[in-house]
Amino acid sequence: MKEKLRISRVLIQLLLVIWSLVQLYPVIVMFMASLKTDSQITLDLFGLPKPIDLQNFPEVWFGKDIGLTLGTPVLNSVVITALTLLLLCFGAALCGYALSRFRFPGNKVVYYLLVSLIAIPMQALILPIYLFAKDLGALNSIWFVIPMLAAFQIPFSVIIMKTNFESLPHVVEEAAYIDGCSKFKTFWHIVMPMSRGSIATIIIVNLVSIWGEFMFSSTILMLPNVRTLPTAVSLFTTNMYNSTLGPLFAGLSIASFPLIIVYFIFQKQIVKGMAVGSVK
Amino acid sequence: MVVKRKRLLQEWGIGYAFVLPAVALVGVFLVYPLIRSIYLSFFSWNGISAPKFIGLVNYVKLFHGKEIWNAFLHTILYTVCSVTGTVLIGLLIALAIERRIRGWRFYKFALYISVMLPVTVVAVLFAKFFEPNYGLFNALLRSIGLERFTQNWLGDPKTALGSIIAVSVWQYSGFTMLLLLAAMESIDPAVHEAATIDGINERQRIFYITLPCIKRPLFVVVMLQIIFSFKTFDIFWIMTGGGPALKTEVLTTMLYRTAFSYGKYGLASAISVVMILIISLISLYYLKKSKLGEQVVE
Repeated sequence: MKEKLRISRVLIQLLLVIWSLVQLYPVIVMFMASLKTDSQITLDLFGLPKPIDLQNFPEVWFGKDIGLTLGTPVLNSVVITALTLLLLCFGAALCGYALSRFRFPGNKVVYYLLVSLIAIPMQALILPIYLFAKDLGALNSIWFVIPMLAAFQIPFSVIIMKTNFESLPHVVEEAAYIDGCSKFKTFWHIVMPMSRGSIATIIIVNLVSIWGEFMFSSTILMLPNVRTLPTAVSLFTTNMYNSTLGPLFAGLSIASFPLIIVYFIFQKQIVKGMAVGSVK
Repeated sequence: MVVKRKRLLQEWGIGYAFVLPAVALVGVFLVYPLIRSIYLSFFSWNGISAPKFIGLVNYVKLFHGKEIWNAFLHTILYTVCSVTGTVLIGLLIALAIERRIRGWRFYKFALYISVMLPVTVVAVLFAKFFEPNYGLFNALLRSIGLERFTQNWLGDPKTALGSIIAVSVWQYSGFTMLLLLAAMESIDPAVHEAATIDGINERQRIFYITLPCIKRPLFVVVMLQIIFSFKTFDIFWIMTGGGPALKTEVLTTMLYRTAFSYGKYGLASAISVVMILIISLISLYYLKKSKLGEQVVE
């Protein structure tokens, strides 16, 4: 019996090692290929980069030879992701707070509206949203895309915030009102600092999808100066040939670095946040 | 009385002010496009000439054509296979990690990395790996002497959909693993202790304790993956664009092509409405079920 248990343990361990290799190897190949010259990649894709060649990174960042620059898209993506998350957290917190604390006609209507909107697949709205941007003359404007991306995540985030506020005690707020503190001031200076955990959950749950959003950004932001990173990366398949594999892998690495670094630093919070945020 | 009424109105006003930003965003970017989709689906319109009202003709055309059934078939195949793959692999790994197998910290950390990668990066990366001449897969097969298994993975109608499914399972099994692991770790340790005292073996522990205890989270994970798979667009569009010969065409790529390549706005809107109906029915069933479950537990 003990013998049998040991054999199955070894077998499971072996399977896990193989699966980890399957999972990590493509990522490692990508990083290593970004440090190789094109001829090294075609001749020896599996080997270590020898010698290490850093040329690919400036090449893809400035894109003089390959006609595709990643520098501008990186900046665009950073700005869009940051502002979208800011707007999302602000909107969701305010609305979640009102739904959990204030009584006003339509309170329930707003709540049920938001819950049922969680069910709508955004992907199906690509055409009317494109037409809407066109009507407004907002094609190629990041100021259309930022509120749009925030709006997509609002329904779910409001529910998370509402649950959060309902779990907080009312006593502190009542004390603040008695001291003559306004509703908004109480919310901003007293309730929000107590809700840092839930704000973090919203950021964690949405960070990857907003940073990587492709369908809408690539349809609305088409010009090179407003393009986001996923759009630029997707153009690699069509615009680049075998002779520019090095810059291609460097570009893919640049697009992955920010989130992988975030994951290395905040692994614990991300694991916890995803578990709480997605199941609720 | 007047003072009281003024107070009440004031409180209402504050309530409305607080919900305004969220409601405005949702109204402009979700509700309005939703209504416009339904409206446009009754028109024939190419975006240039004036839209012409044609009633239900778009829907009749849609369901009489072969394309929608082709897209349905692939959407369902993709959903069934990738959900089965991600949930099974995620479940097995979560079980091993939960039993604290040697190196579990490493596995828990490393097997989630792929989830953090942008889908576009994964799609482009694997498109390069699947490339028939210099791609990683064929090179690997050649190097271990399995030359005859080399394929034009994404170019051959027989292997294209399977390749995309494999990439999705590769990317998202870490996600199911994480959620199921969190569920397993929230089982009361006292249950496990009692069972250990009763002399339970590993197999009994899995089938009589762990799995029954995570029934509800398992349902949630399966439903989340189904809804997610039904809406997948990026990986198809970048890796194959629905090809070869429409053998990887799903509802989302069909919608995109009909709208932006063919400029048939009315027909595209009809596809949108069908998609919205299917997915929101699945989602509402899920929302209702998972809420009911919660109440029963409490």
